[in-house]
Amino acid sequence: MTTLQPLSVIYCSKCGVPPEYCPYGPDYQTHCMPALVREHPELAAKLYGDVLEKEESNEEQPKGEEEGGDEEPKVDASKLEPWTMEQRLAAFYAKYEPTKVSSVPTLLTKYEGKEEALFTALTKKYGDEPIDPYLKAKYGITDGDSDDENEDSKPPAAAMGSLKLAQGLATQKVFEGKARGASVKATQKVETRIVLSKSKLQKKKWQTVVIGMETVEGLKLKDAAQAFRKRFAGSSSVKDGIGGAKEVIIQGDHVEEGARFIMDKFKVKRENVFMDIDGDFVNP
Amino acid sequence: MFKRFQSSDCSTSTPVKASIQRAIKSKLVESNPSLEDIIDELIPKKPPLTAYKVSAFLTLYCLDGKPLLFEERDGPVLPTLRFAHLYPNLFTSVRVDAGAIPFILGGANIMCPGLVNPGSELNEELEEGAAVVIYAEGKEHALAVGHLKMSAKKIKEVNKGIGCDVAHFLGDGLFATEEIN
Repeated sequence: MTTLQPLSVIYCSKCGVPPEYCPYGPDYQTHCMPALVREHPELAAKLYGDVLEKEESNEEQPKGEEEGGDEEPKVDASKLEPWTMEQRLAAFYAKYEPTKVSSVPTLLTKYEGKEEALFTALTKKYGDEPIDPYLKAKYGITDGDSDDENEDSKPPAAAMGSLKLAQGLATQKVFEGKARGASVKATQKVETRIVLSKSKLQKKKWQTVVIGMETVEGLKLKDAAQAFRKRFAGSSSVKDGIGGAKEVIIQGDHVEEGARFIMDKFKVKRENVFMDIDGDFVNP
Repeated sequence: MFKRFQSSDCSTSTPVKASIQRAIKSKLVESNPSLEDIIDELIPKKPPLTAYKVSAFLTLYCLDGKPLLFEERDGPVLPTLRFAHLYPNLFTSVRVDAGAIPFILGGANIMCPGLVNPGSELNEELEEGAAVVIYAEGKEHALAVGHLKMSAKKIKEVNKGIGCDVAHFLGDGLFATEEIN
């Protein structure tokens, strides 16, 4: 072995781990699996082949089971309907512990309102949950916990909106106690927001403080400082600001020129750059 | 160790001296004998690694901003998971049984039964403190790195308590940090 060939490793685009470990994360059915089927069909077939096939054969079976769980099934154009909580639980037990299928209604009344906790415990004990054919058909569309999913789909929309919204969602997630998984990662995505302000050093000497440069994707702060140094022919450095946020400091008053420079050089959109002029935040 | 790690936790960055880099490499070869012939190809002399201090006793070595190795106090030099994924089978490894996977992914240390149960693999010659990359039953990629708390023989004999200290696992802060800036 003379030359070393690094292996190309596929990581899940949603939660970041190698796909074989996705099932241990919280959002793998709604996020990771659909993404994998889309992006790496061969790998998906290898990992989830038996599960997917099983689901397909389930679909063919007539669905004459009794309905009337605690959820009204929605009628969908694609003929498939999402599982009710009862069907979901029954399918789970059918897969792992067929003897317990009969006790499903009792269990459901016992765990009313806490169904998610029940399923978490069950997946921990037996393994992965069988997948709802409806979900599979619609790839990543929500099931019982629809509130959760709505939140997850928000961040892309929020990327256009305000930072506050995204931050609010992120903290909300923290409170829910979720530490891992695709939905957490999605909310942690910070949108670009740069603020330029100036502060007085001495009588006529100013320095420009640029906050939020780290939110520009693919940019290192030191490189940014270097670019400012070149452009404005003066000192520029990275400092720790208030609350641990990094800021780039440029000698001299370059608020307006700096803002224009950031837009040209780093391809930041105009609406994401703010100038602090006497307390007003304005776009350049 | 890296559960809540972020890129901003690194304080100072210094290029590693050639002599220290040699020492790091020899440590790495010592714990992974199969690396001996290829270590210079794996970690080239130039450009040198960059050392980031994470805390007073934890150092992270990066190449081109990408974390490759880390070292705690006088402990063994360990590869990061992304690095270990690129070059499987080069590092000294153990394999845990499938039941241990969810716990490790939550950051737990590995209990002895996880290394002894059927489905697991543990080389009898491993000594206490040996640096290992941890694989799992039925899985292709590594899921953690750490070092043994007792020798492999003792693990099999006692079969109780912590057998392997997990320093860095799949999904922790260091794994999420692809690049340090």
